[in-house]
Amino acid sequence: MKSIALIVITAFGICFGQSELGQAIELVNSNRYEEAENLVDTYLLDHNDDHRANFIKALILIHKKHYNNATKFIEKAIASKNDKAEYYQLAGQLYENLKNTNSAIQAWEKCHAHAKDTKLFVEAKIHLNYLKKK
Amino acid sequence: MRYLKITFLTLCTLLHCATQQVPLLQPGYDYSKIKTITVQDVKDFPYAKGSGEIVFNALSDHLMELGIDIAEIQNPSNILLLCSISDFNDKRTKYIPIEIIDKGSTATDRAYAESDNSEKTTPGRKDTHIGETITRTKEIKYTDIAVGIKLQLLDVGKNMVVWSSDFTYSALNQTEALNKCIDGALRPLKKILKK
Repeated sequence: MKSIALIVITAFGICFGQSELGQAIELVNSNRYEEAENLVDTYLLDHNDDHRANFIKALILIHKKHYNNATKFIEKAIASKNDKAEYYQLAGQLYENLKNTNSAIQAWEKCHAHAKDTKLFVEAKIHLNYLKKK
Repeated sequence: MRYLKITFLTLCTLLHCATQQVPLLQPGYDYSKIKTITVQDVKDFPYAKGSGEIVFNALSDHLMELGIDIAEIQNPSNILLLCSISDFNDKRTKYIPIEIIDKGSTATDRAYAESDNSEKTTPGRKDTHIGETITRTKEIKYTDIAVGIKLQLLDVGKNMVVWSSDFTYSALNQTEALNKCIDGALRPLKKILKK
């Protein structure tokens, strides 16, 4: 039943000119993580280095609390796009969760350097102050 | 008119208080005397039932780790710790923009697309471009957890605030956000007590 729903969603999306990633984002936003993961997995088969797909996959894995695995995907996303502050924010939080303080500091430093909005800039500073004074 | 004046003055006072930093330390106060603290009950954060108790328990545990005894509220110590929760969001949702490249057929409403041109438009007519690529920005939901607290240490006998702190931290799980928030808020106190 689920696969039929997925086929229908994909077909609908393609008919209306929407990419797989666009649909995956909409599925994540409506908490349909399983369906989103199926779409992203399929997309990653042909676009292994796509930073957006890797980021979406990392978000899905975080939702499933598969933190170790999520780290691999966020690292891949960063490897192909190294100036997006939000990717570093997610990496920082993942490393902190995995008690990898040094990597967390590096990620938050990059987040701080690339942050374009004040909230994220301040948040990165708070994390850096906390982690460096440990 | 009088009512407006009072409201304006109240707002100004509130704004002044909000931007003023409460003194972090009381000069000349002997912090080495602090051995026992009474932690006052913590009120729940709006729409987060039970958050007060969670913060109260975690705060008491952290204080005990600092070597401070916790006095019962029935038999209070001279030092009272007030805590208010400034943030307790177990689903802090942010939207992150992602550029998506759409391929395939797209339809453009000419009447809308050409509305700025002097040419006569054909209302309702749509153009379809097969195989075109369009880059658009979509936003994806990202949820994490944030916990924030404000602490005030009162010397009841002297009726004054002797120390205060304010800290917020975000993480992927509630335990981590809570523990790091309390740890971060209590760090300055830890330093003072060590002296």
